[in-house]
Amino acid sequence: MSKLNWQRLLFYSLPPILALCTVLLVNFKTDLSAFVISGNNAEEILLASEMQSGKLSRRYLLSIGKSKDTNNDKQELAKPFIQSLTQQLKAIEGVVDVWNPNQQSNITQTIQSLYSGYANSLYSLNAEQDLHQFFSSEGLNQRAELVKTLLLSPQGIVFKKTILQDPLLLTLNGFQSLGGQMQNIVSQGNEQYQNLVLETRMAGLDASQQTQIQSNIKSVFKTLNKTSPETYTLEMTGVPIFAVATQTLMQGDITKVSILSSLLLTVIFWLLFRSFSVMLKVFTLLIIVILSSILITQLVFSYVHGMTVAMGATLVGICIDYPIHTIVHAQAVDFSERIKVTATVWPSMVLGGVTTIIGYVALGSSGYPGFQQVAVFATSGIIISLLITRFVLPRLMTEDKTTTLKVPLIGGWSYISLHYRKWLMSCLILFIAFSSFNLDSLHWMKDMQELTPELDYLKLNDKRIRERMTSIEPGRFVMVTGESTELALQKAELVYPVLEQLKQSGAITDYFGLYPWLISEQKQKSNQALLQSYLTQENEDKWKQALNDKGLSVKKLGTLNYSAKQTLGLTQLLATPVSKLIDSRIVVGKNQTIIMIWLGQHQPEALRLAMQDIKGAQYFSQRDMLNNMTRDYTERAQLLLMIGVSVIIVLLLARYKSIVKTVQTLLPAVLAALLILIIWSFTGEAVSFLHLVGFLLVIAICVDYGIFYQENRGGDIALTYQAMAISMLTSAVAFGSLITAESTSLRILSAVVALGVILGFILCPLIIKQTNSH
Amino acid sequence: MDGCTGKMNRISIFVFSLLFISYDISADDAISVLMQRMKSDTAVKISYQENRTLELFDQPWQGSGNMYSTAAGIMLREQLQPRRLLMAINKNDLLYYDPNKNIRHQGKMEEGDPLTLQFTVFQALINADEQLLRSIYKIEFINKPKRWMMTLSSKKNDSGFSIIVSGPLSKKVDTIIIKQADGDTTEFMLEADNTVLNEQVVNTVKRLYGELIGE
Repeated sequence: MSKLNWQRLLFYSLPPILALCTVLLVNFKTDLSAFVISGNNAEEILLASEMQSGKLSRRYLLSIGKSKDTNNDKQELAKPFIQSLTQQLKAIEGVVDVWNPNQQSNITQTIQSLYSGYANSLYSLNAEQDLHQFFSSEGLNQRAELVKTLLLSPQGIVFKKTILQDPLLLTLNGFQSLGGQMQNIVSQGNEQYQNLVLETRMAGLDASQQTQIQSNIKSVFKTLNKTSPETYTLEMTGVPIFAVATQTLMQGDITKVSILSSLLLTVIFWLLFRSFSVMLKVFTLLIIVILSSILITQLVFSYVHGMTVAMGATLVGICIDYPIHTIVHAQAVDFSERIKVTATVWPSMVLGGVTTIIGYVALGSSGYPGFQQVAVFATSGIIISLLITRFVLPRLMTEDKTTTLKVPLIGGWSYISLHYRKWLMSCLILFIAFSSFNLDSLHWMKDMQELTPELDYLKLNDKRIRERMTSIEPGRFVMVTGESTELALQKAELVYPVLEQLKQSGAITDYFGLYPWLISEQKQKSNQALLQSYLTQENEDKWKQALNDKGLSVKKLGTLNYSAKQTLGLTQLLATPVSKLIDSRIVVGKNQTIIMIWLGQHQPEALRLAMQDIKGAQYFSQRDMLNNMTRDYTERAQLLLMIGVSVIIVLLLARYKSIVKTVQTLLPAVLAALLILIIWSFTGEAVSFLHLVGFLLVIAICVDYGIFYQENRGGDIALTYQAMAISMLTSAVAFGSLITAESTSLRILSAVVALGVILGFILCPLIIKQTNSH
Repeated sequence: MDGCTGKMNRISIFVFSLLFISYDISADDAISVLMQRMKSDTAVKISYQENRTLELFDQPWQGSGNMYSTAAGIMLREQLQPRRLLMAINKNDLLYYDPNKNIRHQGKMEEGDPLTLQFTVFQALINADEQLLRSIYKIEFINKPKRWMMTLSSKKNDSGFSIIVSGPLSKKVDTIIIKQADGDTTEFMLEADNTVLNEQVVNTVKRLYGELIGE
């Protein structure tokens, strides 16, 4: 077989081989938070990690209600249905547990069985004050009265066990306020709905596994509903719901965008080149480029994100430029000269490729985890495309010399821009000069939520379900950090009294921290020691007198034995049913622990101010965290844009050794970006870091046009501009296809880049004067 | 009761049920007949005296008050001595109110709670589900020389818990004794108030229930 045939065989065999490798080796991920959330400090990183893979992320909140068809709205949901549903849900593969969040019996039993043994440790945050009151004559009488009341109460049989171990009922002292909280939970419960929490084994952001679980949940519910005399409805929320919805969105977008851009590119190619052979070569090259990029990304990161593929698919619009330029110039000469012609235009392509890579590398340096992938993906794609274009493509172009079909209007625009250049330039300068005054009204996006309006229905759903369950405001808490769990607990103990004061003043309705479930070891030991100091003979006699006065048994209750020395630790607590209540309130990392004190309705400013004086404590809002990230990303993106442009300027200066030429080459790109900014200043578009990322890409791509036009290595500016037109069309189509995506982020990129490359292309003949155009 | 979550004692509830269910049967009726006469159309008021012998008390505790039941399914107890308390069951809601301390508690019947088991008995009786009752308790019904006696004890284990319902031969139930596994006992002596009309009882229950829930 001739050398050419081997080359051809290898070239056309690569796509299926690479496709097989991709299917077998590549690990795809779709969690959006892993793409954009990184965190600037240790707390943010720990919280972000908890949001992505922590226990809470693996939980669903299920809300079962009566169907609208049900006649009797006032009747509660049938217990047997809920019981049966709970049992069947527990049997689903991957489900760890299902429980009623309002069910308190397990918690009450834990209080009785566990906490009685630590009565001398956990009874108070302010032991001195409390013990002084307890051991006064009035205080002991009150305790004795409490014992009597409890023994006679409907819960008497249960309290008896606690009272025998803890006659002074110190255990209850800490849980006083909790009784009010639990009572509120019961009374706030909406009788029209029964809520369940379902915990899964796999991470909430493992969308493919969670899709299966959601399907099973719905299936179980549907089957049970059919056999029930009443009809019920099921609503779900939780991190896995958002994850699956995002994945579905992304998959849909990737499929849609890929198909659309492939079809449109095919049409463009066919109309312009009228050659199946050319189409086959170019598309084979693109498939090799995309699949190789995916595999290289997998090699570097051990996974490939769905957004990388979605954004990377737009790389097609960039990498297609190099073979297009080569084909357009090579087709205009005989086969024997094609390699030479390719070698002639190659330096321009390399410079163009390098400037584009600079743009992507700047993106990768942003710190957004996902964009690092896009940078690697794009860089490897561009390099592979350049190499194949230079060393393989010309050798495969064995067709006869042809004249490329001219792109409509391009010749006309070239003519107009040449003959009316001064007039057009004046208009452009005036337009930019006057419009620039409006740039002040550019509106920056502050709320990251605006990037995902397509998920608004889920957010509303989430809010509606949570309102049925609890008065805790989601996403806002007092964050207490410490280098260890013990230190974090100690700091939290400084926060509780402040929160209590705020509660008294009405600035907050309630708060949900780790007290009384757990306090620091230091505080527990201090409580033990202080209590021992009060257990004098005199106090014990007073206690016996109080018991006698109330008719209680002095023999059984008169001896106050609180000598136990052990303290309660977090690990021990997390092994009890109480863990389900408190695991949302503490995150233990390698080098630090975060305690989250959740809040009822509150005044954010009051909280913020109150926490200012406590070291290690701050008012935290998830929304604010994301918005701070937005602000950071925006500032970073602005900086990277400046750095990217600066590096490109240095590169061009080194190449052209002329400031005028450098500025001319860069100006179409910069002006395209400026014109887009002007348009937004009039339309009121909220500019985000994603828009700035788009700018970076516009400049990186449009600089290529400036370079090709400036250098015109083929010697025929009309042919060069025709080649650029085809490049521009393919880029505009590739990025423009993203406009059909459901994801707002992708649509933003589409609008910015598609418009940018068109403007950059149009401006080239205006800005860069060529004397040898045909 | 500061700090407690206010669950009703299912034993008390079961006591309610027995009071209203068994009150107008004669001692000679077998359990099946008892079950058949479960559903009552009329509202009932019963006065009671309560004696409790508790291990942690120096001497027995005494209380008294009234118990009410309506056809709508509300069962309410108003303790008058030594101090006033209100307790009620309405479907799956358990309610408690201490007027002196102005403390209200509300809870739900929870499955899996051992104390709920007694209420399951109540439900079995209300629904005339003899099979369910027999599946939970051993029932012994005997006639002594002067009194009849029905004893309910746990089938699953020899926990020592039992409920003994008794009355004079051929007469209505007048005593219910609840024995806890730890030796604590509660004894109710009962007397129907036949002077009140059905409508009066219903109105009283409405008023007391309103006070209970804070209306």
